[in-house]
Amino acid sequence: MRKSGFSMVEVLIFTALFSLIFVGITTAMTTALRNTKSSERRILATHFAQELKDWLKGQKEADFGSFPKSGTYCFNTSPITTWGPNDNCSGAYTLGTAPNAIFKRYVVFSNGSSTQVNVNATVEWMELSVVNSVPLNTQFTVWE
Amino acid sequence: MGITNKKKLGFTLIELILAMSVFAVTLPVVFGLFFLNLQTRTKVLILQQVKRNGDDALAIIDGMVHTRGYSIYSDQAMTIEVCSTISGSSTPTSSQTVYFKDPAGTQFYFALDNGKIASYSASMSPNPAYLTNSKVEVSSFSISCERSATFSPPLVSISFVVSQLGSPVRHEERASLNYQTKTKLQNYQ
Repeated sequence: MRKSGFSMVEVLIFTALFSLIFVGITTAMTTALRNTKSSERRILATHFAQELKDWLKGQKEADFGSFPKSGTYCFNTSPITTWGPNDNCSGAYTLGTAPNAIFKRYVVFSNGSSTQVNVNATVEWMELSVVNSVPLNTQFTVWE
Repeated sequence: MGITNKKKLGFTLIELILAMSVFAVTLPVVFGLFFLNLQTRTKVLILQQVKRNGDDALAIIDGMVHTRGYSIYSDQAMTIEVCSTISGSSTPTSSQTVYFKDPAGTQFYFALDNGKIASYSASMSPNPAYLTNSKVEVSSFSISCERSATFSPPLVSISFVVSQLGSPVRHEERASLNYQTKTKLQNYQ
């Protein structure tokens, strides 16, 4: 009679082990998923920062005289076709293609002179209500 | 007594149904998570390939044109020089190939070959060196030039789009990045 069926303790141990393993697997998978998603966004953000830098370099090569020497510009479109509005995108995370239209991108120019300017480009996005950012700082110089 | 004993053995139908429904709810969640994981990893792999190819190709073209470019022609025989005079518009306007000459007089140019960026140089073998691999496809490839002032060398615009190979239906398998920049000929005569 004792050998037929499980005792309460056996069932409890099984349930405890099963739930521990289940919670473990789920946590591992969720963490892996979050990390993979995070690196995908970081790859995209790095590309957007580089894209802006390449475009700005082109503008600088074309005409440094009219190139901005100070101020902030927002570039929430890709590919970049023209200068964006004079702000840091004011919280509009619209850069990128769905479902990754979650970025904002802006550039700040400082210490400008007739031959050089400091360029601080930033791509930002929200992840679990934390702001992540990829900064890209450089200095443009003309040698002519 | 026999009846009560029999009742205590094994599980009742209700218990079995409960246990099975718990499994039925939890197992799909685990497998769903697993599948989602795989999808995201595929996406990251594709994106990484696309980005690496695009970054490399742009850096190489930009560097070669900037450091080795000496004069620009619109035909392979190098008889029609372009962008040597001041013009407001860029030449050539279509997706035509432009040919560069380096200070030693050697010809080099870039063109799209079956979705890959091919770099041709007369100093090397007639076979091109491919700047992108066969895992990605390049489209909208364009190199053009313009000259805005006499004291300034011609400005070469480079732009292209790198995407994954083929056209997958699922958006997780799609990745497309834009590349564009402009560079000046450092060695212009």
